[in-house]
Amino acid sequence: MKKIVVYLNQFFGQIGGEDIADYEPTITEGAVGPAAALQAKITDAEVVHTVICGDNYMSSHTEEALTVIGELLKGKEFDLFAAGPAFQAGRYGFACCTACLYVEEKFGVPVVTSMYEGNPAVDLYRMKMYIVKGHDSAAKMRKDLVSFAKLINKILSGEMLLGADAEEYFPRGIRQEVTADRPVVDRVMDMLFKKLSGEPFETEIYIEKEDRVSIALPVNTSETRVAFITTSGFVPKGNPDHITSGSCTYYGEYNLSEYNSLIAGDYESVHGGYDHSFTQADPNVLVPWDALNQHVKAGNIKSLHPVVYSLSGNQTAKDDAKRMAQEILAKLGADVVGAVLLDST
Amino acid sequence: MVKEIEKSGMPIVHMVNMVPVSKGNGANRIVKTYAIAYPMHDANESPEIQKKQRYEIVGKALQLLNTDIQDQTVAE
Repeated sequence: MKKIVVYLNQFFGQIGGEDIADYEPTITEGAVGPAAALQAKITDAEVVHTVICGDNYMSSHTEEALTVIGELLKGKEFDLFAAGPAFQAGRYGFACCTACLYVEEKFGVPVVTSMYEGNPAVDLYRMKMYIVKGHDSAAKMRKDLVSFAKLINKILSGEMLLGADAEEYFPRGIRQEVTADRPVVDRVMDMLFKKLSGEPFETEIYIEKEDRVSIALPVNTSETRVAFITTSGFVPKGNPDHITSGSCTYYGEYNLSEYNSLIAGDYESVHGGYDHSFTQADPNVLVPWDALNQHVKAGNIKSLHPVVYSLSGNQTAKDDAKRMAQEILAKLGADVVGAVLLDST
Repeated sequence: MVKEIEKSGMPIVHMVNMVPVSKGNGANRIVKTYAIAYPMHDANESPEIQKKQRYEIVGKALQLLNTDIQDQTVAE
């Protein structure tokens, strides 16, 4: 019977929520939480251990976290390492991929994870490992475990994989030579006729477009009006504009020109993805309004755009993010702003 | 959002903790923050030190805005 180790974060590992996101890695015998549900769908293997690690710990202390995980797994027998599913949780997706790649290198076992295509970890890691296509919320856990288990079973059985689409993982950019059913000249003419007549066709090779932006020229900030944007979910106490905890489609606009610093208790955070106790202690930790004003006084910034734009950068849809940025840009342009600082949590 | 703003030609600094994610997404000027839940200062320090930290980290961001960079640049 083959053996699997599953990696979960502190939440799915049933340790706690955001308040315990700094949880250092531990290992438990058997399958915890969703690992047990995964086990039910695995045909010829047993989940022998579950590794649990806090998302913030893995993110902020990656080297230490991986070293501990390496120690915890030393001497353990296992044939595959599976992490997640991570859905759209960015830190968790990053943690799953980081842990998997480390274990693959150190222990030489196949590794797999699962997450939603909008998870930022997908673009970063899909070329390096198998990431099974998942849904965007834990409400779809059962569905995700089905496709997750399917690939895990296939990898363990040693059967040849049929490519990303067939096996439901994100394309890894791996090309395998196969013999086509028709000569290339026939296939290319077929495709050309379809394209010319506006019929749908499928390219045989997909060319990736790199989505990079030209580096903007520097400015002399002593001569520049600077604006501050935050995706920390920073809002005045009471959240008067009802900024949502995630999936934001609109943002708040807060004129702070009257103040040189932010007072604890006057502001809070509504972002659903991190512990707010530090914001409550001092909101300057999210929007360093005091520091910005000090830099103006010191002559390092000419002036500040008076409005801080704020939303919760938690599972924001790409198109909404683009649109909101364009809207904010128009307002900055109208105020002759020349540079921006944007902070995320 | 960072890239969308930079497309207009305005320099922008992303102040973020998960630097590999921002870099992978293509931000050009990045400053690493103290932590996900406390970006601008270390929550374990005294208020006096925290105030200094905020001034310094904003300073790092300003320096990047003032710098003619040739490639993605991260200030740690």
